[in-house]
Amino acid sequence: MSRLSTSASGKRMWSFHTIPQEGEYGNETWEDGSWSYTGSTNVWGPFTADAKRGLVYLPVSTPNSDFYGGHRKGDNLFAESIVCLDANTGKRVWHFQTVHHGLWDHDLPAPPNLVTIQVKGKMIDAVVALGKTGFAYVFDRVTGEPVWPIEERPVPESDVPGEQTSPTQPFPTKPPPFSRQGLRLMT
Amino acid sequence: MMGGANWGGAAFNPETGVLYIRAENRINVFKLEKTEPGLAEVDYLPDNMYQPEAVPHSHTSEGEDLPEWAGIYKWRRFQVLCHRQREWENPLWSRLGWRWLREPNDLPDPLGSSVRGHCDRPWIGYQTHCLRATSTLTDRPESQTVSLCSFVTILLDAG
Repeated sequence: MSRLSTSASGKRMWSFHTIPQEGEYGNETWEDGSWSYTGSTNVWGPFTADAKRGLVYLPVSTPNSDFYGGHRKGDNLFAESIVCLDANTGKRVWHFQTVHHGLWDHDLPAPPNLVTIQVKGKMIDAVVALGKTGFAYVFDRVTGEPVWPIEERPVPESDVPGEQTSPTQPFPTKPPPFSRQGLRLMT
Repeated sequence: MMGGANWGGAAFNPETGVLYIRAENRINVFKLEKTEPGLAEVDYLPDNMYQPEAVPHSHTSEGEDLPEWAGIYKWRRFQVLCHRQREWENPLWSRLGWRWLREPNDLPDPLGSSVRGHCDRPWIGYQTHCLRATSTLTDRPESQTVSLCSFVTILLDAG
């Protein structure tokens, strides 16, 4: 859960459930009621605020257990997502999940960067979310639209008993990954 | 794979459109092993993974029996740090269960061979996570995934 308090009084203005409670958007991504007993999925890194627009960006972390998800089947929103909220109300404006059903602790550990970039001659106020995946996910700051396409690509399934991995994961087409994306075992 | 960005985050130069990222590459091996009840260093408990004393093994935080998936397994994570990174030798990591192995030879083959080829002088540690997992795990006690990374800093053109 994320909360915002006023600086002067400390009175809570709003709260946002990073694990959606019953009836909230995304609750169905926690199968078999796993939303009710799963922990973490917290905002580990600092928020980033666009004060001019009244928007805050939450880099959400991984759910428990970091490395096994057989007890929390589903995509598990808003784990490993960047979530944009209205700073005045706490209402969700947009979100993007960088890893579906996380099993590798590949969350968003750092505060998102607010950048203004020129793409094809057009200036874009963007926000960059950095992942432990080694990808930089770049979005229009207001609409949440990816600045460059992010493709859902098929990925290998886990053979861990009880596990049910996501059949696809999002892959940014640009910029290129900034860390290694694979390993070849030499036998 | 482990690595990518971490708490350090990035910095942006608005004049050049360059995003500076502290990037990491790290090698990991995760191995799911069956273990004996009571040997867990850390129990998986719904709501609170890291307070094993707070709740008995066989109960949830509400005092109800765990679902039928309650069996005890542990993840053993082998992690290799390249370029003489030794941050995990501090007391905090020791409390979390990190232990230092001696050489890449301590890694299970064939990953040890791969590590020796990738790092000039790797340091290796492992962490044991224990969790309560589904009863179906008893059918197949072992499974393994592999990952790799190194510590670098790069420039990324965001323009």
